[in-house]
Amino acid sequence: MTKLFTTVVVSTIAAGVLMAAPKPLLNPFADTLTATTPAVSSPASTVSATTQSSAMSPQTLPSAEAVRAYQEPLMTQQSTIRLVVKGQGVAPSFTQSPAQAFAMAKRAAMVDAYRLLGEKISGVRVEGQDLIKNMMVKRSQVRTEVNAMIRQAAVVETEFKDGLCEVEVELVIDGAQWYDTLAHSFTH
Amino acid sequence: MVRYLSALLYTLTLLGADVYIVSLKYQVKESMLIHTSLMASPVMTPLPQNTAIDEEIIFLTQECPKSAFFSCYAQEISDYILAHEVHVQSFDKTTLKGHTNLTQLIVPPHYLQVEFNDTLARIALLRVEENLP
Repeated sequence: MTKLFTTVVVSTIAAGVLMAAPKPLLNPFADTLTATTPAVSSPASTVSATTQSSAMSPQTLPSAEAVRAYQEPLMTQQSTIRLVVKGQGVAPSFTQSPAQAFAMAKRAAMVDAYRLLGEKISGVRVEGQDLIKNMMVKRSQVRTEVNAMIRQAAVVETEFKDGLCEVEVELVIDGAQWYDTLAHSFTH
Repeated sequence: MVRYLSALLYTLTLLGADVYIVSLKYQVKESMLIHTSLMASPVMTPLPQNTAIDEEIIFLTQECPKSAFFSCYAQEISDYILAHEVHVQSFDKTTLKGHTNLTQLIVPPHYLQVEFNDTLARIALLRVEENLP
């Protein structure tokens, strides 16, 4: 009985440590993880939670009316759409100089921006799977995939602050040229 | 005779400019760059019919030999190639334990023409009819 109890406690602590392991600043679950495991949270995860909560403060969120009024631009054969996305990248901890950190963070931000463009152009494929056994969720996972080809995107602006790099990338799509191709890619 | 003439023409065209096959790959995991590669190799077979796309000029500010051009100016070359055509693949997985993300940018092999002058290098991607192996 004692052995069983010890095993349960050890596994619980191990799970807590695993969940509170240092996460990147951009982890969307950072605040959740810190909130659920406050006793074993490391300083790194606390910092990320603070950053996350300050970034998601209610003042920065758009109002409900603004969200309802916002409409995604629709492409037609006569229109030209200008897509602007902002990608974010973090410098790794093992860099040897600030210049290298900036270069690597910028690359990561560019990749993120291209991914956002790919989401807008080709869409996202989502797959979900839940396993329920004895009325309990045993496993739950959601997989998303983006697969796109992007041409002629241009970096408009780059900003690097506190190890976080933000890159603004712009892509102009001419409806007369691309409407048929993109419309067919969604229908098939 | 025709073969010799075409070989001579090919040699003459390569005297002024070098042509390389380049490919590029970036991998980002959890918003951090984990892998980057810019592969370049001189072309060893005759080039098919081609046309140059948007030339770009790189000013040779660093002291590096011609053979190390790609390692010295990797950033500029990468930016130029990325601006033309890139394949984006992104995989996200969310479970009860957490979230993982892997995004990669892949530029498949392309012909890149590099023309060296005294203080600058003119690079241009070549659009060819047939696909590379």
